[in-house]
Amino acid sequence: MVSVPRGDAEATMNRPRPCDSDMSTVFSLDLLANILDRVSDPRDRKSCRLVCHGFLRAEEIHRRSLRVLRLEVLPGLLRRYAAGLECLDLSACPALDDRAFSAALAAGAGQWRLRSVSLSRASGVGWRGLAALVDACPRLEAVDLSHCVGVGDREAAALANAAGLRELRLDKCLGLTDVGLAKVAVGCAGLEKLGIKWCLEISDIGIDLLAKKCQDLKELDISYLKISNRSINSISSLGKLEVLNMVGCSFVDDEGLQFLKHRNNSLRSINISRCENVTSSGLTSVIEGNSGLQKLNVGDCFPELASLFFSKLNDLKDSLTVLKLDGFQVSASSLKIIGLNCKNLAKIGLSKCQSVTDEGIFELVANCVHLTTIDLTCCHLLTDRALISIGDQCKKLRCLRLESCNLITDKGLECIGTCCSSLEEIDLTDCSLSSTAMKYLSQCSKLVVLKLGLCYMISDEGLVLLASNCKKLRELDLYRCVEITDDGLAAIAAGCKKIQKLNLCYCTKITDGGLRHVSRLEELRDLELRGLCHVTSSGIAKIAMGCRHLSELDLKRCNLVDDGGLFALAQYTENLRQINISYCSISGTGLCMLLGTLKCLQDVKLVHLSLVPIEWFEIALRASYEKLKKLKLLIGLRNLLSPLLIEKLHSRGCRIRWVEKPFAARR
Amino acid sequence: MAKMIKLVSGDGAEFEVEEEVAFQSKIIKDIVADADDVIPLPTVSSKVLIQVIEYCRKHAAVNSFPLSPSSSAAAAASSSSSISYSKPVSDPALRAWDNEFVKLNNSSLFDIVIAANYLDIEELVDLVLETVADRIKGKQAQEIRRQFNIENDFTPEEEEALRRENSWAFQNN
Repeated sequence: MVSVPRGDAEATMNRPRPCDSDMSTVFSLDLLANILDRVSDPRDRKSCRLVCHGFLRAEEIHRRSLRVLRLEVLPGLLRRYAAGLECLDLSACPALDDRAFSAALAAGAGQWRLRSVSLSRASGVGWRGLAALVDACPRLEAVDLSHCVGVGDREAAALANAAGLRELRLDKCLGLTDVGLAKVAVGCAGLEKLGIKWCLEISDIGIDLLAKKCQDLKELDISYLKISNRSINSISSLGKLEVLNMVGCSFVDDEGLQFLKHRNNSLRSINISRCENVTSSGLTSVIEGNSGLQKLNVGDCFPELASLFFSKLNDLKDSLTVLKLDGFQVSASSLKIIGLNCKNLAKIGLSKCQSVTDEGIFELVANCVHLTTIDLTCCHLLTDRALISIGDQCKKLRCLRLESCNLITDKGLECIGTCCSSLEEIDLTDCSLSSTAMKYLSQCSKLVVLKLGLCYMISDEGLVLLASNCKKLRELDLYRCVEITDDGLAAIAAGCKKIQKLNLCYCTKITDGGLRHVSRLEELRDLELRGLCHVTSSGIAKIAMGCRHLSELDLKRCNLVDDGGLFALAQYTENLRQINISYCSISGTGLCMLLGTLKCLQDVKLVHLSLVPIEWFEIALRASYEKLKKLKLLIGLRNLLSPLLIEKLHSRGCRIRWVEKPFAARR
Repeated sequence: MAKMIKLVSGDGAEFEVEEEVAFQSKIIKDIVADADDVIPLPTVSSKVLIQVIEYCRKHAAVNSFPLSPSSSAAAAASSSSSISYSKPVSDPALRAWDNEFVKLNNSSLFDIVIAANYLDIEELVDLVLETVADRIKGKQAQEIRRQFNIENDFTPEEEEALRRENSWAFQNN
C-alpha cells in the first residue's frame, strides 16, 4: 500500500480543487516519490528536479545514490539529500580533504542513513575525515579507500570503530601495516569483503590475525602481497570464503596451495595468476576437492601445464564457467580435454597462448557450445577456419577478442557476422581486414564495442555499413585507420548516436569538418585525436560546444591547435578530467586558462609545450595544484620549476612523471 | 444471492455493489469485517466513485482471489525506498481494458488515484501512477509543467542554480 498518513490524505482531499488540478499540490510527497520511482532514466529524473519545489522535494527524499563532481556544492547537496541517501561516491570530487569532508558530513548531522561511501583516490582524506564519517553514519557498511596511497594505520584505526562494516577496500593503501590491519580485524569482526591488494607492508602475521578474527570473510584480495605459504594456511580456516584473489604472490608455492585443497565447496572463484613459483602440481591441488569452483584464473604462471591438470578439470565439470589460461602453451589435445570436461564453460581466456591452432579451437567449441566470451589475443596461428568453427558452434557468443591474429581476413568475419547475432564486443586490432568485413559485422545489431586499431584498409565505406545497423555502438577504436575521412565520421555521427568512446588517433585525413560531425555525438566522454595534423582550434571548439559530457581528451601532436582551442574547452567542457596537449602550439595564456578554469581537471600531460615560458608553467600549476592528481612533464622542467611548487603538488597526492622525449615527430 | 455493500459518495449518492467488487478495496474489506454494510465515503465524489467501481467490477470478475497483501510498512513508508508493486496484470485483454480506462485527462486521473489510495486499491494506484510516469518520461522540465499544468514556483536564480547543478555538480551512480 502506498502510505499516506491519514491526516494528510484527508486534508488534501477536502481542499476544494480547481478544474485543472496541480499535481504537485494535490499529491502528497509520497505519491510524488512513488511516481519518481517509476521514472528510471537519470536524465528524466534531472528534468523532474527543475519542475517545481514539490517535485524537487520529492526527488530529494527519493534519491538513494549520488556521485558528486564538485567540492563547492558538496555541503549544499548533502544537506538536501542526507535524509534518504544510502550510497555516496566522492571519488570524482577533486581536492577533497578532511576539513571539507567533515563539514559536508556535519551538514546532514543526525540524519545520515549512508550505507556505502566511496573515497577511492581521494588522497586528501585522512583519519580525521574517516573518524567523522564513522561517527556520523551509524549504518555504515561499505567503504572504498582504494588508491589513497597515504592511508595507513591511523586511518585503519579510525575505520575500526565502524563495527557494522561489511566491505572494505584498502587496495594500494601503501601505509597500511599489520598493526592497522589488526585493528580493523578486531573492530570489524563482521567483515565479509576485504581488499588489501598492493599493501606491501602486510605480512603473514597480519593475515593470520585477520583469518582468526574475521571468520565471516567471503571475499579476499591479497594480490601482490609479500606473504608466504603460512598465510595460505591461515586463510584455509575461513569456512565461508568464496572468492580468493592472489595474483602475483611470488612467495607462495605448491606447498602453500596444498592448504586450499578440500575446502568443502565454499570456494567459487580463485585467481592465482602471475604466481611465479607455482607449478602445475600446485594448480592441480587447487581444483581437488573444490567441486563448487566456478571461476579459475591460472594465467601467466609459467609455460607448461601438465595433462593431469586438464584431466582434473573433470572434477569441476558441472560448476566451472570461467577458465583463464593466459600465457600457457595449450595444445589441441589439451583443448579437447577441456571441451570434454567442462561443457558448461561460458568464458575462456587463451590470451598469449601462442601455440593455439585452428584444430585446438575446433575441438574446444565442439563441446563448449555455451561459450559467451572467447579471448584469443595474440594467438598468431589462428586463421579464418577457427572463426568458422566458433560461428558454427557458439551461437550465444557475446565477446570475442582477436587482437594480433594477423591471419584473420574478411572471410572469417562472414561466419561470425551471420551466426553470432548476440555479439556485443569484438576486438580486431591488427587483423587484416577491409570494409568487406564491416558488411558482415554490421549484421550484429547488438554490437557495443568495436576495436579496429591498425586495420589500415578500413575505409569510409566500412563506416557507412556499420552505422546503418549498429545503433547501440558505444565504443569505436579506429587507431591508425588512415583511410578514414570526414565523410566516414558523418555516417557514424548520424547512425551511432550512443558513442561514448572514440579513438581517431593518426587518422590524418580528418579535418575540422570531420570534428564538426563528431560534435553531434552528445554522449561522447572519451575522445582521442593524436597526431591529427590538419585539425585546428576551430574543430576543437566545435567539439567543446557539442560534447558537453566530455571527460577525457587527447590532442597530442595536433600541432595546429592553439590557445583558441583551449579557451573553448575552458568555457564549455565543464566535466573534463583528463587532457593531453603535448606538442600543441599553445602559449602560456591558453595553459593558464585551461588549468585555472576547469574545476574537474585531474590528469594533465604537458610535454614539449615549447611556446610556454617557464613562468607561465609555474603560474598555471599553482592555480591548479589542489585538484591535480597526475602530471606529465619534460624532465628538463624539474630543475626550472620552484621546489615549493613541486612539494605542494606532492603533498596533495599528485604524481608527477618526468619524461625524456625527443621532439622529432613520429613517422 | 451475492451479498451487497452500500457505498455512499461525498454528495450523498448511494451505490450498491457486490461484496467481491467492493472488497477490491482493502479499507472497505476491513470496515465490513466489523459488521458494517453501509460505508460512507465523504471524500469521494460520485463521478470518481462510479469510475472506481467500474474498475473494481472489471477486476473482480477476472481475479477470483483478493489482491496481494499490502505491505504493513505503511506507517514508516514515508522514507522507505522500496515501493511495493502489486503483481503485474498478466491477462492481455485485461491490460488492454486498463489502457483504455486510463485514457483520461490528468485531472480525472489524479482524482482517481487519490481515491484509490484512500481506499487502498493497490492495482489501481499502480496503474494510474504508471500512466502519470509515462507522461513524464522523455520530457524537459517546461514540457512537464505544461503537461500537468504545474506552476513554476522557482525564482529565476533558483532555477538557474538547479540547472547548473544538473549539468556539472553530480551524477547518478
